[in-house]
Amino acid sequence: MPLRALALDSKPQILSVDSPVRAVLRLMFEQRIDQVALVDAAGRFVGLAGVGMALERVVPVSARAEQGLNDLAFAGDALPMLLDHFQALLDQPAALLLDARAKPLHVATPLLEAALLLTRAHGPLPVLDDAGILVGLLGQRDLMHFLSTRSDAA
Amino acid sequence: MHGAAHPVATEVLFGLGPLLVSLAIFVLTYAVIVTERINRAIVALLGAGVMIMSGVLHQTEAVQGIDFNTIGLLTGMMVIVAITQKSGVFQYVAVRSAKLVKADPWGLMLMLAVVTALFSALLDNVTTVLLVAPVALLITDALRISPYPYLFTIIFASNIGGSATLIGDPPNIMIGSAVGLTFNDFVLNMAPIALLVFLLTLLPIWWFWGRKLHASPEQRAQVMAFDERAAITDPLLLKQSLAVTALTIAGFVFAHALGLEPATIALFGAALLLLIRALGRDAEQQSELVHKSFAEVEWVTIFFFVGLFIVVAGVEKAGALKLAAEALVSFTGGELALTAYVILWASAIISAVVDNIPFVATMIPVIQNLGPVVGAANLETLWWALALGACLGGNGSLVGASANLVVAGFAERSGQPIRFLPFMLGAFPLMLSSIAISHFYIGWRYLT
Repeated sequence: MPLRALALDSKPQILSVDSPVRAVLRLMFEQRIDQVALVDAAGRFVGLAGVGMALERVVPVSARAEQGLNDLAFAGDALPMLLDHFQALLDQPAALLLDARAKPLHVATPLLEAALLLTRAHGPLPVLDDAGILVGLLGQRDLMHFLSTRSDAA
Repeated sequence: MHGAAHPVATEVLFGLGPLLVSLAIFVLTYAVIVTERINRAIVALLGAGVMIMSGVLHQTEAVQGIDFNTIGLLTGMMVIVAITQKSGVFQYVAVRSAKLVKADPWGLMLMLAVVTALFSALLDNVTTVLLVAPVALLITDALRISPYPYLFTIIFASNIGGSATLIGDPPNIMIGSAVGLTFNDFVLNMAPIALLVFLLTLLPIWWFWGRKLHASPEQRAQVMAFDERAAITDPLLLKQSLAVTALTIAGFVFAHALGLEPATIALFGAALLLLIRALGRDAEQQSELVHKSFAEVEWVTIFFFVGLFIVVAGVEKAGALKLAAEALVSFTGGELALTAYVILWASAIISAVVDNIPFVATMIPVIQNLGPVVGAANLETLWWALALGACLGGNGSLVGASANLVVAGFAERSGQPIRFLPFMLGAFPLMLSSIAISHFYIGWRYLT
């Protein structure tokens, strides 16, 4: 069964990939969402910007980098440092927040494959049509809800 | 170091003599290692395999060619460090040091250099920089100052500190093992010059960077708010690992009197620490502990050594290294001082541009062959020249030592890249001045 049979979140929030991080975060705060789809000038899907990626950018690079510090408990709150990083991030391009883990699904992707990929993702995955246009987002809850509905019907 | 139970064949491959074949394998192996296109462990092991399959070296000779003292010492120390670092002790020391100087940027650089040099003298350099560089990056982040001068200084401190002891740097481990020089020999002969070079290296670093570094009181207060005690994630592990590390170092100091090789002490220390950590755990937990600890051994380095030892055993058996020694003697006229200086400077310059481990592996038998010319009693001077050149030469460029590449890699991943040429422009002259100081030290201490 392909994904087009599922009820996707068909109206994800969309911004231009050229927008600043500030605009992405503002939209996330206003809509209380964790992902914003970024598109190019032609409206083609570029990727999902995630709030988690923004958070990663705020965490000191000394801990974020591979083989970096495993533990930052000794550094305390470090609020000034966090604020510095946050403010430095705001005027950066939104592309900085693209989540490489949110690999797009196709409307024809089989359900089982989508279920497996969702277990490996950190949030909803974008679903694209043949033209590369974003059709909607598929989250873990969407898929479980679909299974629950089918289970009740069976 | 190398056995020679089997006679040298006159023809080994395609009717070619063993000297030509072994040299071809040797040059090809080293050339591919230098290009860094293929993992160095793979290249060394392939070179070793070809050396055996071509008939230059018999399998038993190949095994005899491996210096298991070097392998055991490296492996044992890697296991001890892998377990110890989980206690957070290294972060504790780095943060405590930063607070001791009230997070003053130059004082911080000085303290991180001292901490790095001390750790490097007692531990593997790569491990040391992997532990200190992230803390340096975090503190410079809090102080909003460039981490570059700190990472540069950490590289220099690790290579200088590593030169001070038998266990500080792989070239010293190899020389000590092959020649029978003890931990105490290295401390008595290398530590004084390492300390002098360390202090004199800090002067230009202060001139270029140190005197210009500033941080606001608010930024310094942020570092002063760090709680170093919170860095200790496992107090019990801290006590256990520090006790075993101290015992192991004491073992190195008394190794000669005990009639033990450093590898025995390091591997025993590793086993003891594993035993202490395993007590009270069930079989599955013990298995997990041992598996994880062994997994952190840098097997690439270990197998690289194994392959190299065999390749060098091949050229040695074929007589190539004897010829190299004769060429060196003809160049220096067998005069001890000139030979020592040539070894010192050549080792430094070569180690700045290629990995010092294969270079030292090759030079050990070459110098051993000089015994009859310069006199066996004078050979020790040449060993110190080789050790100083190989260890300090590593500071000359980013590829000069593994620790340099590790810091550069970490800096790159952290968005603070260290570029090859700008680094070399600062590092190479500084390395040459450290060799000039070593030149005078060797002349004053051993040749007058």
